[in-house]
Amino acid sequence: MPDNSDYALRPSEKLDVLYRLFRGENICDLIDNMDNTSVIGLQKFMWETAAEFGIISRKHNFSRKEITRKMKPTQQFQKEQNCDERIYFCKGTHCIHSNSECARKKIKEHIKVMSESIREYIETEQHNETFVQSTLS
Amino acid sequence: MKIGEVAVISQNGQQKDDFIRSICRKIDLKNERISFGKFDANDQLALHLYGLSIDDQDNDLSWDLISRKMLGYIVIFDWENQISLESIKPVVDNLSYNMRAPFIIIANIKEGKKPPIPSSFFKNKGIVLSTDFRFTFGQVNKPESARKSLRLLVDMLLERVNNF
Repeated sequence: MPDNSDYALRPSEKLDVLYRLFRGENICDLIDNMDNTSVIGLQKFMWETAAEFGIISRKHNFSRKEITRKMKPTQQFQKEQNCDERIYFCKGTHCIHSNSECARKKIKEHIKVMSESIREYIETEQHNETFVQSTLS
Repeated sequence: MKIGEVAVISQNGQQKDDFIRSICRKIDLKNERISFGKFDANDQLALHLYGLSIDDQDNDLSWDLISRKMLGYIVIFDWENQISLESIKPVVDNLSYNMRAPFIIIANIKEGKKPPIPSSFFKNKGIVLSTDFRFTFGQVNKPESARKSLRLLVDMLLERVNNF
């Protein structure tokens, strides 16, 4: 089984993700043209970026839960997919090799939530910056 | 005198020259694809900046020969120009897989424009893409902005020393 570092995106792919993200473009579309390994790499990179931006924006109040609670509960997702695997099997990293279509669907949903969270952190900081500037001027 | 060498790479030849001028005040040497500038920190230490253009037609720079001794790399692209982004991608992957030095990608913002995200997300350590790879926004023709990017590269080098 590959370890976590084997799923890293190429630097140029990360650059592409940031370029789209900061332009408000859809990140999920990238998945359709990626192989399984890169899809997991994308999910990992989005998590890292969302956490980094969350910490800067929310400071000590940041918790990964504020992102995960916007995601569809695994039980519900499995039910919708008529999947009777054990619940802890329902990870993109696990199923992507056996049931790629279903895993990609789940990862797409997660990436959409993470993109929205990152946009929210950016907007919060933009608001704070504007507030500080208007207070100082 | 100790000399540290840094490669400054861009598709647009003007950007690498602007960056070198912002740090070194002038370009000392220039030909079609390579520019050179030096910054004397004091009588014991100098930085040599080598500006390299990526040529669309002839992307055959011998990176392995050019790059062995570099302290680090600064890769610049124009944030408003997707062709510029596409042109640096092979270089970025090449550097990442073949070189051990840290590198920074600067998304250059035009005069009068603002970065698409607040500076709080990149002003301290850039956006970390891996241990040796950071992304930041900047204006390469502004000395203050160019110095910030160079400081970021130096910080990355110092972090490596601390991690040994």
